[in-house]
Amino acid sequence: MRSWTFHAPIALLLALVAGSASAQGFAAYISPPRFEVQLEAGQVLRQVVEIQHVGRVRGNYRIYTNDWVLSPDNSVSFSDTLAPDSCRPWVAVERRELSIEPGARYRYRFEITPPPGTPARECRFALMVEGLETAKVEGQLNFPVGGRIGVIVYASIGGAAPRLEIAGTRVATVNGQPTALVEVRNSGNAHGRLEGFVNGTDADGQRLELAPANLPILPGETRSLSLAPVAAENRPAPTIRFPLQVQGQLESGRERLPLNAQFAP
Amino acid sequence: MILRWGGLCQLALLCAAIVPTTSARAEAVTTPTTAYVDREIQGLAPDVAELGDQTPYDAAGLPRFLRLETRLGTQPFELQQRSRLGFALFGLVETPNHGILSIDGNLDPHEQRGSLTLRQRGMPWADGWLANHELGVINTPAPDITRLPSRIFVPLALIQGAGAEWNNSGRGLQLQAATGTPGLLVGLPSSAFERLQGRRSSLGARWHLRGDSDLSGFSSSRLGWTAALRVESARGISPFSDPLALAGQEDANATQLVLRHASDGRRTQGQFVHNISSLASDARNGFWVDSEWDDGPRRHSLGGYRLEPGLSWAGQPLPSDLTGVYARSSWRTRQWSAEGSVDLLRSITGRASNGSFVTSSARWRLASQSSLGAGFSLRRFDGQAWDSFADWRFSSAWGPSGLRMELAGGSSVVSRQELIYDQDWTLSEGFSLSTSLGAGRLRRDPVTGEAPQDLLRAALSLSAPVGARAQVRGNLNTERGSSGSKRWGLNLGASWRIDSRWSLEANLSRSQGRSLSTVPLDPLAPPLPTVIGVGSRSFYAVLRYELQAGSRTVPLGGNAADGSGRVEGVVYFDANKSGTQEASELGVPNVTVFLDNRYGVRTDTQGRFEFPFVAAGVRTVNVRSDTLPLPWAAVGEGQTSVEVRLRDTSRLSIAAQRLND
Repeated sequence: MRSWTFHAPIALLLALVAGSASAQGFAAYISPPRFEVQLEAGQVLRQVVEIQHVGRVRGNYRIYTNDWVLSPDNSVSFSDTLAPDSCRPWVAVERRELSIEPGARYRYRFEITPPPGTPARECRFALMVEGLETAKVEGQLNFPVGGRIGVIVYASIGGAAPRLEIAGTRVATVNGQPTALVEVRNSGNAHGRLEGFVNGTDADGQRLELAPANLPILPGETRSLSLAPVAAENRPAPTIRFPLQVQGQLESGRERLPLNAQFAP
Repeated sequence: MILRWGGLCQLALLCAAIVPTTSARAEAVTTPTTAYVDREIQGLAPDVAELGDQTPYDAAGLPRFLRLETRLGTQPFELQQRSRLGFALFGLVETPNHGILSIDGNLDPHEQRGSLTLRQRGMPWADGWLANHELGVINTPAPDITRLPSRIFVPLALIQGAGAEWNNSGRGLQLQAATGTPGLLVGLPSSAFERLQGRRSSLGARWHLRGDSDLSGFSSSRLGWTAALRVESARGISPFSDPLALAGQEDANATQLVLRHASDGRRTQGQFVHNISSLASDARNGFWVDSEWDDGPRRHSLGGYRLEPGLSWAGQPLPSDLTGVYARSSWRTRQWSAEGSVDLLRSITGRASNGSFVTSSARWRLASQSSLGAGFSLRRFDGQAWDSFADWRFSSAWGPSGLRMELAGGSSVVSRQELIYDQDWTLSEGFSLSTSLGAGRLRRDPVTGEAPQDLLRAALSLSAPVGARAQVRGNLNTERGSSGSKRWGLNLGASWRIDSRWSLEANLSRSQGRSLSTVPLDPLAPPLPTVIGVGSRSFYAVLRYELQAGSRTVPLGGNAADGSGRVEGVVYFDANKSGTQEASELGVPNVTVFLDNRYGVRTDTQGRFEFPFVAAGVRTVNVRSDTLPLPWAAVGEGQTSVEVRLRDTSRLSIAAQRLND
C-alpha cells in the first residue's frame, strides 16, 4: 500500500459568488485535490484530506461521498444516489459535519475497506466538501448560493491496473480548431492516463513534439484524447497545418503504446 | 440528485472538481430521492494541524513583518567550543510612497561585532524613476547587463558601506554607485562582517536605447542596443594573491565597457576591461565578445577573448594570460538534449603551448521517468586533464533512482573512477528521504605522490514531520579510503512552531577529515582560494518571533485587495549537474535572492530562503550569481519563474552549477 504522488497543487475554492462584494461564502483550501492509492481486499486504508478554512468567521462544512461519471465531452456528473457498482459502502468518513476556526487547517480522515475476497477492481468516488454558509447574491436573481468541491479518489484494489491500447486516430474540430485525436481503449480494470510525447511533421514540414491530454480513461471505455503540440519555452504553441505525420511512443505506466499515424481532416 | 456543471469540470479529474450548487435551482430541476448517508469512523479525535489565529490580527497600518531571533551556538572551527549568544533581526515595511524599507541585522555581543543592512527598494520618483538604496553590508553594484551569461564574469565585492541604484525603465536607464570597506561574512551563530583593509568605490550606468516598460529587470531577450559602463576604484586593499599584504597594499582602478545588441533570435555582447594597479608597471586590458543565436530548438554561440597577463578587476582575480575563441551549441527537445563547446586558446606569454578545452554532454529521455545522460570535459592546455560521466536516471519501485559513473584523469590531477547510486525514496506526504552510495578508486597523486586507494562514500538526507508542528531534518555524508583516510559530516536540524508567532529551531553540524577539493578544468575559471578544513563542530539553537501586521491586502509585489502566498526554497550546489538536490549536495549560505528584482533576502546557513507574503501570480525569483562562491553560478541567468497561489506555499530548489566544468 502506498500513496501515489499528487501532482496538482492545492485546490482552491473561494466563494463562487459573482456580483456581490458583501457576500460571505465558502472559503477553503482542500489538499490534495486527487488521490490515487493502492490497497488489498480486506485491508483498511486511511487517508487524510487537509481542509484549511480561510474565511473570517468560523466555517461550517458538510462532507459526504458521491459517485461520479465522466461524460464523452469530458464533463463530470456527480450523484448522491448509489451507482450500481458503487464502492461507497466501503468508505467511512471521519464526520459528516465539520466546523473550523478562521485560518485553521483540519486533517480530515476517511477510510476505504474493501471486503475480503473482493476481486481486483478500482474503487472510484468523490469526497465532497460543501460549505454550509450560503451567500445572498444581490441582483436581478436573488437566491442563496453555496459551493462544494469534489476530491476524486481512485483506489486500486488487488493490483487492478489499466491496459490501454490505441484504437484509432482522427481529426476533429475542437474549439473551432482542427485537432488531432487519439482514440484510447482501456481493457484493464483500473483507470489509466496517457503520458509521453511523439514527434510529428506537418504539411509545411514543421517538426513538432506532441503530447496527449492527461485525462483519465476509465476501465472498459474508449476516450478521445487530443494530441497537442508542445510549445518551446517562451514561445507560442505552434499552429499545425494538416496532414500531420506522427511517429513515436506514448506511455501508460510501464506500458508502451507505439503510434505511427497520419492525421488528415 | 444529480448536479451537472461543465466549464471547470472539463479539467475536473485532473484536479478537484469545483461544483457550485444553487439550491433554488437544484430543487426546481430534481426530484427528491433518498440520499446515501455515509458511515462515520467511530471514536476518532479531531486532528487540527494548524490552529487558527487566536490572537487578533492587527490590520491597521502599513503591511509589515518583523522577525527577531535569539541564537545560541558555537563557532565551527573554534577549539574551545564555547557557546555564544547571538541576535538577528529582520524587519520589513511596505510604504506606498517610499518603497519597501527593510532592516537585516546580526549581532555577536561576545565579539562585539555583527552585520547590519538597511534597504530601501522601489522608491518611486518623478518621471518613472525607481530608486533602491542600501546601507550596511552590501555588494558592489554592477549594471544588470553585465550579469547576463558570458564566457567570462567580472566579480563583485562585499563591502560595508552605502549604495544606490536608480532605474528608469521607460528611458532604459540604470545608474549605480557604492562605496565602502571590503570584507567577509564570517561566524556562527550570527554572521558578522569582518573588515579587510582599504576602501572600494564603484559607479555603474546602463542605457538601453529603446527603453522598456518592463520593471522586472533586464533579461537576455530585450531587443535593441544597450550600453553600460562600470568603474571601480580600490585604495589600500590587500592583493588577492597576498591576503596579508606582506608585499604592500594595492591601489587599483578598473573600468568595464559593455555594448550589446539583441534582435529577434540573435544577441551579441562585447566587453572591455581596463585595469591599472599600483603593483603593475602598466595598464592591463581584456576584451571578450559573446554572440549567440537561436535556430529552432538549437542555440549556437561564438565568441573570442583576449585577457592580458596579470589582468585583474580592481584587485580581484580574473582569468589572464589567455587569448582564444570558442564555439558552443545546444539542442533541446523533450526527447533529448545535447550541448557541446570548444575553446581554442593560447597563452599570450607563451607559458603554455597552444591548447584546447572541449566539453560535451547529452541526455536521452527513454520514457517519462527514465533517461540516459553522458558527458565529458577535456582540457589540453597548461597540463592535460579530463573528466566524464554517464548516468541512468529511472523510476524504481522505491522512487526516483539514479546510477552514475564518473571517470577523471590527466597528467596534473588525480585519476579517479567512481560509481554512485542515488535513491530518492517515495514516502508519505511530508516525509522525504534520499540516499547516495558511491564506490571508487583514486590513482596515485601525480603532485603529492600519495598512494592509490579505494574509496567508499555514502550520504543520506531526510526530512520528517513530528506531529503537526515540528519537523526534523538531517544530512550525513561519509567517506572512507583504503589507506585509512576518513571523512564525514553530519548536519541535524529540528524546528518546532510553538504558536503562530513563536518557533524554535536547532541545528547540529559536525565534520571530520579533509575534503577532497575539485579543481575546475575550465582554463577561464578564476583561481580558487585554498581552504583546507580538517574538522569542525558547531551547534546552534534559534528562538524566533515573527509578527505580521498591517493590511494583508497589500502583499509583496501586489496591489490593494490582492491576496498573498508564500515563497520558500533552497539554493544548493548541484555538483553533478542533475538539476535535483541529491543527499550529498549541500545548500549555499549567504546568497542574495530577489523576488521580482525588488525584495531581497539572504540564504541561511543551509541555503534556505523565504518570502513570507507575496502577491499571487507569476513572480520572478533571482539568485545573484555574483554572490555565489566561485566557480559556481546559478543556472539559466539565475532567474526562475514561480506561480504563487493565494495562501499557498510555493517551493523552489535553485541549482548552482560549476561554470563550464
